[in-house]
Parts: sequence; C-alpha cells; structure tokens
Amino acid sequence: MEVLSNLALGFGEVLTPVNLLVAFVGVFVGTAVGVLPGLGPTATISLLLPISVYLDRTSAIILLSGIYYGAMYGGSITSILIKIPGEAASVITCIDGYQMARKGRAGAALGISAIGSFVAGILATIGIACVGPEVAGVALALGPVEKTAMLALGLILIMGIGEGSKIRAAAMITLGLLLGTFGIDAVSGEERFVFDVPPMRDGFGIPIVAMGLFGLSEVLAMAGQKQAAPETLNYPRGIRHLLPNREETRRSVAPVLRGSVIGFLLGLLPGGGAMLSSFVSYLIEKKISRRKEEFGHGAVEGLAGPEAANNAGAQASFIPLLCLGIPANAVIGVIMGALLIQGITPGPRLIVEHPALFWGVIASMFVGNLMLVVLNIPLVGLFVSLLRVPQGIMSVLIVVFCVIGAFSLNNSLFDVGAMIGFGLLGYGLRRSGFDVAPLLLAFVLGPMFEQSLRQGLIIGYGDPMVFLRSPISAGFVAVALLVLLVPQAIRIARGAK
Amino acid sequence: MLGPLALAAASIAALSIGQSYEVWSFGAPGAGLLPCIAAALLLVTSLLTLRERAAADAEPVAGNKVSSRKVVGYGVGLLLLPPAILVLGMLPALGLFVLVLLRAAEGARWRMAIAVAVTSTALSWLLFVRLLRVPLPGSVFW
Repeated sequence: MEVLSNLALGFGEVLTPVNLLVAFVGVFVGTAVGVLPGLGPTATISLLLPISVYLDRTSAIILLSGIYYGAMYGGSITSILIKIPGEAASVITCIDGYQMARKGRAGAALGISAIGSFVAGILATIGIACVGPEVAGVALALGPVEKTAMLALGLILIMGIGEGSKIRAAAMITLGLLLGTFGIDAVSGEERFVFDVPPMRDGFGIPIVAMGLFGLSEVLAMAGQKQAAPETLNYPRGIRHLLPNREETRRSVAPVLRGSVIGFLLGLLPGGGAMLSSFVSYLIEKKISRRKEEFGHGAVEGLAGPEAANNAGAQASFIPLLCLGIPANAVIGVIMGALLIQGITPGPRLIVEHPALFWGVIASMFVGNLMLVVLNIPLVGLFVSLLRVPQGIMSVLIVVFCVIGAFSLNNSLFDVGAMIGFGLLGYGLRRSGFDVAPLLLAFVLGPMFEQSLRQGLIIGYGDPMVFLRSPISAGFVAVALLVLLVPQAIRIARGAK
Repeated sequence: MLGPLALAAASIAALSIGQSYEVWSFGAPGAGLLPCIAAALLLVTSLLTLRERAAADAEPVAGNKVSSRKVVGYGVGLLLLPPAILVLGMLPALGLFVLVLLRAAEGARWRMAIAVAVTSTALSWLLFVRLLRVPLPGSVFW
C-alpha cells in the first residue's frame, strides 16, 4: 500500500503540463537519437546537460531519463529497417528484426519491438518501485568505511564496461580518479593541479568532461568515418500494419516476460544495463527454443526477448544510481552529473530527502513508456527520414551546441577551452583503443570515493585494516577481490592445460 | 603505442606533483593521498597496456581507416575556436566555424553552407540569448 501512495505522489509530480511536455520531448528526442547511428544517448544527454540546468530538478531528470529509454526504442527502428543499430543495445535486433522486415513483416517487427519494450518498461518500473526503497533502506545503514568498500567494488565492476581489455579500462578508471582530484581539496583547502589558473580551483565540471569526451570526440570520430547512405526497407504506413498477427503475438509473450526479468536483473549490475541484457536474452531464447533453425532468419523470439530485455535493463540501471549513488553505465553517470548540478547527491538518502523527485522519476517511466508506444509507432516514417540529414551538418551543429552549452554553465570561456581539450583527449584515447566510458564514471565517483576513503581512514586512526573489520565492508572487499582474481585464475588454469 | 606512452608520461608528472601535497599528516590521510595512488596506478596500467600492445603486436583497436583530412580540419577548427570567440564574439565565431568547416572539411556547396551557418546562428541566438538569457561573449570590436 505504501508503494501505491508513493506512486500517487510521483504521478502528482509528473502529471503537470510542464512535466508531461518534458517527458514527451525526452522520449521524442531520445527516439530520434536512437535512430541516428553514431550519436548515442550518452552524447545527447551530455549535450542537453546545460539546458537541464534551466529546468527544475524533477523536470530535468525526467527529460534526461526519457532520452535514455527513448533511445532504446529508437535504436530498434534502424536495426529492423536498415540493419544499422542506432544504439549499441540494438545490435541484436539487427539479426532477426531485419530478417523479419525482409520477409515483409517490418510492421509486425516494429510492433513487437514497441509493445515488447512497453511491457518490459512497465514491469521494470513496477520492479523499481518495489525493490528501490528496500535497497535504499539497506544502504542507509552503511557508514564511510562500508561506503568506501562499496565504491571500490563499483569502480572495479566498471572495468567490465569498457570495450577493450580490462587493463585499458583500469587505466581509464585511474585517469578518471586522477582528474577528479583537480581543484581545491574539500577537506584541507589545499589547491591540487591548479597551475595558477584561477578557474581550475573549482576543478572540471562533470558536464564539461561529458560533453568533451562524448559529444566532441564523437564529432571527430564521425568526421573520420566514411559513410554511405543507408538503404531503407519499406516501412509500414498506418497502425494496422504494425500489429503482429495471432501466431506472432503468441510466440512473443513468453520471450517478452523472460526478457523483462533478465533485463531487470542484469540492469541492476554495474556494467549491466541494456546492451548486456539484450545479448543474454538472445542467447537464452536461442538455447531454449524448439525452432533454433529460425534464429538468424527472422525468429519472433529472437526479436521480442532482446527488445524487452534492453528496455527493462535500461530502466533497472536507475536503481543503483537512485538507491546507492553508483552509476551502472556511462549514460547513468551523466544523469548522475545532472543530479549533482541540481544540488542533489544520489544515494540512499535521496528517497528520504527528495521523495517527490524519486517517485516522480519512477512515475515518469510509466508515462514515458506509454508515450513511446502511443506516439512513436505512427511517427516511424518521420524518424526514418532523419537518416537523410547529412552527417556533416549534424557534426557542426553538435559542435555549436557543445560550445554554447559549455559556456552557459558558468559563463566562462575557460569551460569552452576545457571541453575542447577533453574532446581532443577523448578522440586521442579512442584512437588508441581506450574506451572513455570508464573514465567518465570514475571521474563522477572519484570525489565521493576520496571523501569516504579519507573519512574511513580517520575513523580507523589511519589503519587501512579498518576496511576489513566491518563484516559488510569485508564482504564488499571479498567480492571485489573475487571479481579481480577469478578471471585471472581461470585464464592461468586454461593456459596450464 | 602513442596513447599508453602519453598516459605513462602524464602519470609520472602527476605523481611528482602529487607528492608535493600532504599525503599523510598527523596520522590521517592528506590531500595528496588519492592523487598519488591514482597516478601510481595509472603508471602501472599504462605500462601494462604497452606490454599488452607489444605482445599482441597489433595496431590500435579503433584503428580502422579514417579520413584524416577531415579529422585534422575539425581539430584545427576546434583549436582556433576559442581565440576566434575572443576576437569576433561567440555567435559570429560559431557561424564562421560552421561555414568554413562545411565548405572546407565537408565539401558542402556555398548555398548550403551559408544557409546552415545562418540558421544555426539565428537559432542559437533565439534559444540561448533570448529564451535562456545567457550573456554570450561579444567581440572586442563592439
């Protein structure tokens, strides 16, 4: 009953004309972003961070989270119609979704994708509403010692997010931690890495780093790619053509439900989220299917399961952020940056101190998912036409938006220069085979980690063994060691054979 | 090889600067503790990356064919943008940036490049100056 009254509070927050408009803009922009190959949700949310400053807290987070799950749906449109995943989590959809479209079932594939995503989104949101407060309640009992160990575990799990090897991801995490220490030390007031440049005293802002690493470096990466205009299969005109037939509906039900559960569970893990969920769902559907031979040739299960899983995963990844203050992936890291800009520290106290925000975001997920399914199905044609915008025009407009956005945060040209510096750094790192997502996440978590580490060491009179004395902290340390050492042990054992 | 080497060099610089801060004082951690730990770990991981690269004897992972002329064009444009903003003001500088890059790097026609430059500048003025009241920097000339 308490969940229902809290949800009523959330719906009271969301069902205002402004927030409904913001939710609509979020899912609309998110779908458009998902459709466009290259520009992902992380870059777009980074670009919109300066705009979100002008909205109130709840509206800002509704806008940014709407972009995230809107992109999950948008990515499926291009996967199905042109076999180009607009978003990384939609890679799997290319396999059977595109094959269904080639067999003349493009409308049904888009319909299954939209309805599956909607069902999964609603189930995941119910899961968040039920599980979130419990997780936050447990996390409230954690002191600085336990929090340090938990954040250390989070940083180690982030190693799994990177696209390259774990060593490269670890290098990016340490670079992110280092960059997070720039500026005046909050405890001692000592200036660190300021180099007599006054604006450096405040350190680098999260939006500046995010816009540079994801927005500008993406522009440079796109400039370096030669792209041919994609060929689009005929897309369905009219809602009637988007409805799956009875057989397709029957075959979709169980994969959608399984995908929702898989996505929800994997979305809770740092490094999990949409992409991993869709891969795991596809593998499971293929494993248990009686029609294995259809996979890769337009199997309904191979589309419905992963589509549900990626949407459920995207939404479940809000739980570690809202309840523990740990971003599960780069998109959520940028959304965490938006919360910090608004003066809100995500974590277990969020639900106690800002219940309207917490439940408002959850209620907005219901509303956003409904908007996605009702509004976006008839707008498929409009989104597909976005692919005709030349990439060069898109690139220069992103630069314009990044530069003005970076300036508008503090009315400072230093921020513009810093963002350009991070853009060039991000591009250089990507060219050298480093993924910048772990860098951003460590940069966001770094100051929190440093604060709790120092508090923990002060509590333990400078003895690092304090992190092993508390059972909870020791548990986190043990899991962290297992995560680090088990893969190495398996590799060594395989090498010995 | 250049990326990991640059990271290793940066970590050595950060380590030497980090040591100048208080790492430990009066039995408690100081401002230099995390910078030193992070810089040391960065040094170790960048050296391990170098070894990994040497062992694999491979080119960069993201090393697919790139159009370097365009990337250099964008890079130079971005580096020249802050001084151009100081001289011309933000909106004119961005308009010029759009025009030059679309023409020179993207090979767009004059008419298209001018149309996009004017439209993007006008929309930016509308959104940021009129709507959000952001005081964008003006030119040194006016």
